[in-house]
Amino acid sequence: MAPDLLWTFIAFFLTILVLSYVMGDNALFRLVMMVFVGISAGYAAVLIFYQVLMPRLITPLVTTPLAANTALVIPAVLGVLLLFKLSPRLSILGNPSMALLTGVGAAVAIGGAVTGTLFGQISGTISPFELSGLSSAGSVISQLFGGIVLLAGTVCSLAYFHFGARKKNGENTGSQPVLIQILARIGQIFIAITLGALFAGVLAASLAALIERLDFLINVLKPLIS
Amino acid sequence: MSEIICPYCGSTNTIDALTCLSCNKSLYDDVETPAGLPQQDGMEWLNTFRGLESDSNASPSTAEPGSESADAESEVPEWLARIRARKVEEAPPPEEEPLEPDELPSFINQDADLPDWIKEIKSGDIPQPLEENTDNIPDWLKSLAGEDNLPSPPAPSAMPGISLPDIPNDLPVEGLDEFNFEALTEKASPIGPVDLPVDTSELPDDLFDDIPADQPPSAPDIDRPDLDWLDERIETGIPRGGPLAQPLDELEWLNPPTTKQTELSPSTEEPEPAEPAQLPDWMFESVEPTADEIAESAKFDFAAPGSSLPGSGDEELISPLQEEGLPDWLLDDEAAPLVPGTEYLPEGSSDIEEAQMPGWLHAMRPVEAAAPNLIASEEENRIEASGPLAGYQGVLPGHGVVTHYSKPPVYSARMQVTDKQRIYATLFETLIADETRVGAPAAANTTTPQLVLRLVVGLLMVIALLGVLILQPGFAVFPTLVPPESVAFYDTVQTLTAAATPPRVLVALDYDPSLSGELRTISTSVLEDWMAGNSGLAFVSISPTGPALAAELVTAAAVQSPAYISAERVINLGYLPGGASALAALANDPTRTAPTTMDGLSAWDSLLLQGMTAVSDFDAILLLTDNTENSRAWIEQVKPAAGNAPLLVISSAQVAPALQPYVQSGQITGMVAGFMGGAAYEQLTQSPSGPVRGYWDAYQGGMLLIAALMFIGAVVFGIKKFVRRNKKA
Repeated sequence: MAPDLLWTFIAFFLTILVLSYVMGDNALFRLVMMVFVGISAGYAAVLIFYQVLMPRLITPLVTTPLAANTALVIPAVLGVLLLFKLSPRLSILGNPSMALLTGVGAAVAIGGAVTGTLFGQISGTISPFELSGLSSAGSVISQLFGGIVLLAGTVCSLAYFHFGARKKNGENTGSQPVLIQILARIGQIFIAITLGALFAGVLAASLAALIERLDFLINVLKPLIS
Repeated sequence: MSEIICPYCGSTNTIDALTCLSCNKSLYDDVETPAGLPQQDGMEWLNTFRGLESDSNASPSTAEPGSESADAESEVPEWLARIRARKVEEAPPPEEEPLEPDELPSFINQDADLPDWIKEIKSGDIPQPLEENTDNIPDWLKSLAGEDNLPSPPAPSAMPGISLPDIPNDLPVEGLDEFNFEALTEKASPIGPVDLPVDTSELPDDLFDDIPADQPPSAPDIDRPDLDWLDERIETGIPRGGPLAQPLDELEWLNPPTTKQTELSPSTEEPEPAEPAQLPDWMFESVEPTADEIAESAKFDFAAPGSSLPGSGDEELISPLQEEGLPDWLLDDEAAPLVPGTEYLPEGSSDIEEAQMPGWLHAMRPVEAAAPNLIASEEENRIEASGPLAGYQGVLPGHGVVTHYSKPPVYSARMQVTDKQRIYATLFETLIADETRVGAPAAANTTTPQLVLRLVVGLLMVIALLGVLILQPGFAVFPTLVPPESVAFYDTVQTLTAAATPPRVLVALDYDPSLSGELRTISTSVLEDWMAGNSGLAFVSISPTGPALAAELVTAAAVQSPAYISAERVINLGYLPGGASALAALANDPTRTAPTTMDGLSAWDSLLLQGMTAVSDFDAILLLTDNTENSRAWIEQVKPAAGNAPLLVISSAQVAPALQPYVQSGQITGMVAGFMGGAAYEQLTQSPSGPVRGYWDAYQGGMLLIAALMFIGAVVFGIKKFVRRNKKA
């Protein structure tokens, strides 16, 4: 039996076991899940060791003089300290590594969000109102309508997440301004549409995956039947 | 002495009777004063003694009945006459048989055997009697004189010719219980076993010389020293309270043996019964008290006993204790209710003057100040029934304090709540009401219907999709209207592949294997177009499974492009650890972030990537993703560093709504999302055998089935809800 055929049958049975979930959670489904998680973790560990640690840390430190790779000592030490997180008593030694990872990750995320998302989204919201390049009136109206809807959706969605309350005579009244309440109500509609689109996307993605798996089963069984 | 006991039969007779009512014998035949016995001549002491006997009744145990003469009766004091009158009225019929005259002790008749000391007395040389005044009386004797529950003294028996004062059975006589009657009767000596409260060493030795130790002494030998104290008492005027216990004890021997005494001590039968004729004359002499004594005795009032002594029949003893000699607290005891079994009613209690409690006794009762009034009142009326303090009244208030307690005060448990607090309490109660309310029982077990419903829906979906996939009915039409992002995607690919120089594309593969079926189907057509343009593809991933999926994807796409040399035009940079940080590093310096390929070769020295040092050197960036976060990280970190390189995205359908804003903003140049995007791209490329086209019928059929199931479910549940609402209404 060719290796491809063997793996095809293994994939076939594993697919059948996963589809057994249609009858509810069962041992076969959990077995497949555990196999999948185990294989994924093992594959990731092997991949990280052979693709990251060996070529980028261990090999340079071993094969080349330390003076030429002094910069590698820092990640090596931090990596060793990170291993102390496995011990509850010595986990404090891994805090510097965790602090570095968290700090760098937060800084990168915030910087990217500001420059990549915030500015980009503001620019994208304004861009539909740039009608100079449009020649036909229909295009102008269409783009302008799209821009208005986009702007309204953005403002109303932001208004929905506005939890401030107005003050009257120096005391919080506990109620939002009427304009905010109206915008929030409209924003709630936009958010509902967005969540519905996301759910539809999830359903469509799942259906696509199911179709692909069923086609796989058919392709496996078709030669056997014919 | 309100009665006269017959010397023959022992029955009780009234004081004015001359003959016995029972035996009709003369009560005074044998008690005539002997002619030979001088009345004067130094016998004043005897008269004095008789006077003492008459007014003090100090010899309860030695009471000798019927010795009163008619002459003496005329001279009895007033108090005695009053007592006699009352006794006459209350005298019960005689029940006890009188003792025979021969049963009298012989010593009574032994007149001739007087000891020397009596002779000396008679001769007028009276020895100095014991100094028995109040100073010599011990305190314990004084303090305990009031006890009323002492052991009953031996029952006085009838003594012919002699009538001794009656003694109440509850006479508080101290030291009586210490008296050894048995020893007394055995030795027939009243001196030996008696524990005299006085020091006998002070007595003259001649008082005891003539007393034989082993035989019963004769009456003259014994009564004289014992009776001296009576004389002394009279002379000194000692009150007849507690100290009277001594004469009671010492005169015990004068009592003839009674039935009780016989039972206790058989030796008491030894004394010969005294014949009335043999009794000494001095014992029958009448008492002639002086005027002072009468006046003094008139002040006294006797408390008649309520009951006679055991064995004495109906004899009623008169308490020798007089109010004047008694302490005030003892008088209070008499007025207080007595303990059952020990009480006695004072005769003529209405005549008893209420005495005042002394201050020192008040000081001994601190409980009155501390105890409640109720307890105090009860304590005043309570008499200790047992223990060494038996007979005392209100001495031990502890019992009352312990057993009697006042009802504890009742405090109001009503809270003082303000209106504000009440409002808050109501709100809090409303809040917790939902938590504490027991939920309605489940209408029915919904596990089985849900399982069945899920099984039916699942099987229906699988069967429908399998049927469509197998039959390929072709009922679904490819979309004619394609989204603009798909058009932009198509235009960009066509523009780059149509260029003279094959483009070099950085392919970011970040999706999980679970959605590889969707993304691989969509991206296969795109990769075929890139391979058709001999584009250089550099795969990189921030997911560990990315490199493997990239290899599979290239392998699947290369099937449709046999002229494409994957080994030269495809390079796998592998996995980039660190997520967004790795992407930032890749954007800054890709050569240092991903220096090698999956095979360990230098990536940036290869022909494909030779001369490239930045991300912007790539002609395009193609992102395959099913994750919003990773997609945003690529957009935020790499796109700004990419410069003019377009960012093309092939995404799963579930990520498309989240990436649409970036498409609208122009950060994503073009996007193919899901089967819908893949169909649009294949529609644009006019590929007749694209993978999406083969799944399009199933996809459309499945979407239609899902929509139908959702509609049917909505209708069913709407009807059920409507029915329930109508039922509730």
